[in-house]
Amino acid sequence: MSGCPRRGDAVGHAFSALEPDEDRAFTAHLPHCAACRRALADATAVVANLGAAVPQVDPPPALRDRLLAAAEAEPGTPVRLALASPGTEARDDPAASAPAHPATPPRRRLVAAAGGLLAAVVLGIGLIVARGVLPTQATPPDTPAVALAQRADQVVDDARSRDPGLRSAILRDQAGDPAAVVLDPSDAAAPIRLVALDLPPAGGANDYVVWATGLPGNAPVAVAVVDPDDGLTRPLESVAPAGPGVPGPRGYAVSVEPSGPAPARPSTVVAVGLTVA
Amino acid sequence: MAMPMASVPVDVPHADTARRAVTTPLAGDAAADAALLERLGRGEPAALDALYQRYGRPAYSLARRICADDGLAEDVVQEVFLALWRDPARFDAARGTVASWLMTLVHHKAVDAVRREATRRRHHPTTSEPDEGLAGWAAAGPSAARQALGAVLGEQVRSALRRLPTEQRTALGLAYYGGYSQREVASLTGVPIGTVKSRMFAGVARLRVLLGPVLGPSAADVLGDLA
Repeated sequence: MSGCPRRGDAVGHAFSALEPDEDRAFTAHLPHCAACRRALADATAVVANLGAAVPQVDPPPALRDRLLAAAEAEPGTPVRLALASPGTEARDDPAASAPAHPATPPRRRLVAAAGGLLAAVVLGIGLIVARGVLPTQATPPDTPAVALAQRADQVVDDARSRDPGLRSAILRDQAGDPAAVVLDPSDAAAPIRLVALDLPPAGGANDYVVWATGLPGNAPVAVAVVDPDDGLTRPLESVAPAGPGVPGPRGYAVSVEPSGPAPARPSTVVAVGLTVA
Repeated sequence: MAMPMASVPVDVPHADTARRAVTTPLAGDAAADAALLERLGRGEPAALDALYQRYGRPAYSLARRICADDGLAEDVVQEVFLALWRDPARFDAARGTVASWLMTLVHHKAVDAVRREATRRRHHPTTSEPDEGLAGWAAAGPSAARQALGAVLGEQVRSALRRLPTEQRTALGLAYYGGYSQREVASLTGVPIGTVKSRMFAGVARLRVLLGPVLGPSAADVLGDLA
C-alpha cells in the first residue's frame, strides 16, 4: 500500500484525538489522498469495536424516559429514511470527512480584512490588493471563498473556546481569500500555530515561513517554519520582543522559502493578516 | 512515563467459535435494525425505543467509561440517539452496522464532552485500560443473547489489546478510553507527538489483523487503489 506521511493523522482523526487545527488540515487533505482514506476506513472499523471491551453497565431507567420525552418534544417530523444513499454524510459522522464541530455562521471580520492591507504596508512589499478583502459582502454564500471564511472562523472559534485569551490572525492571499490562520496562545511560553486553509503549493524543497509583523522597528521577524509535508508548525527561536508591556505582533505573514534556515526577510509572501485579540 | 497496564484475566475464545458467534446473529440484527430505521424514518417513537433497548446499554457503558461521570454519559447517549431520531438517513448501511456506527458516534461525542469538561477531567485518574470484567452482562432477560454476543466481542477486543506491545496499547488506550488527544498522550507518556502517532498507527494496524474476523476485510483488501 502506498504511503502518505499523514496516515498517522487518519488514526488520530478516527480516535477524535487530533487537535482542532490538525483535524481541519487532515479533513482538507483527505479528499485528495487515497492512502489516508484507506487508513481512515481501517481505523474507524477498529474504533467501532474497541467500545465492546468496557464493562457493561445498565443505564438508569430514567434515561430511557428522558430520551423518549425529548424525541416526542422535537419539532417537526424526522426526515424520510434514505438508507445507504451515496454521498450522504452527516457532519457528526465520525467516519465522514466533514469537520467534527458544527459550522459557525459566517461572520464578517472587517478588522482582519483591513489587516491584510496594513500588514502589506508594514512589510513594505505591497503585495495585497484590495480586491476581495471583504469576500462575504458580495460573494454568493456557496462559493469557495465563503467556505474558506467559515472554516477560518471555525478554527479561531475552536481555539478560542479552549483559550479565551488567544490572539489570532486570519491570513489572506492576494485575492483577499482566507488562506491560513495563525493562533497565538495567551500563554507566552506556548508556541504559535499556523493552520493552513488554502495556501498555494510551496513546491519541492520549500517550506512555509511564518513572520510576525508590526513589531517595533517594523521589520518582519521569522517566528516559525511549517513543513508542507506534515503541516506541523515548528517554532523558531524567538527573537521577537515579548513580555509585560511589550506589544505583540500586529500581524502575521506567510512566505514560501527554500528549506533550511529562514532568511532575514521574506521573499515570496503568499498571505498576510492582522492580529485580533 | 508509560502508563502501567494491568492484566485482564479473560480467556480468549477459539477463533472459529468467535467468528460464528459474531457473524451469524449480526445478520439477523442487520435486518431488524433496517426495519427499525425504516420505522424511525416514519417518526415512530416505538422504533427509537426499540433501538435504545438494543444499543442503549453498550452505548451508555462506553460513554460512562470515557466521561467518568454518569450524568455526562447520560447526556452523550441521549444526544446520540436523538441525532438518529432527527435524521435516520445519516446512518449509511454501506459503511457498517448500526451498532458500530452508534458506538463510533458515542465515542466521538463522549470525547467532545470530556474535553468540554477538561478542567474536571484533569482530576480524573489517568488510565488506558478498558477496565476489567464484564460486570452485569449476564443479566437474564430477552436481550441476554445479545449481551452474551457483546461479551464475546468484548473478550476478543481485550485479548487483542493484550497482544499489542505495551507502548502501542498505552497510546491507543489513553486516546480511546481516556479521551486524550495525541498531543496530550505525548505529554502524559513523555514521548514526542510523532512517536505517539507512529505507535497509534502501528497499534491500529495490528488490531486490524488481530480483529480481522470481527472487522471483515480491510479497506485496502477490498478497494485497493480505488479506496
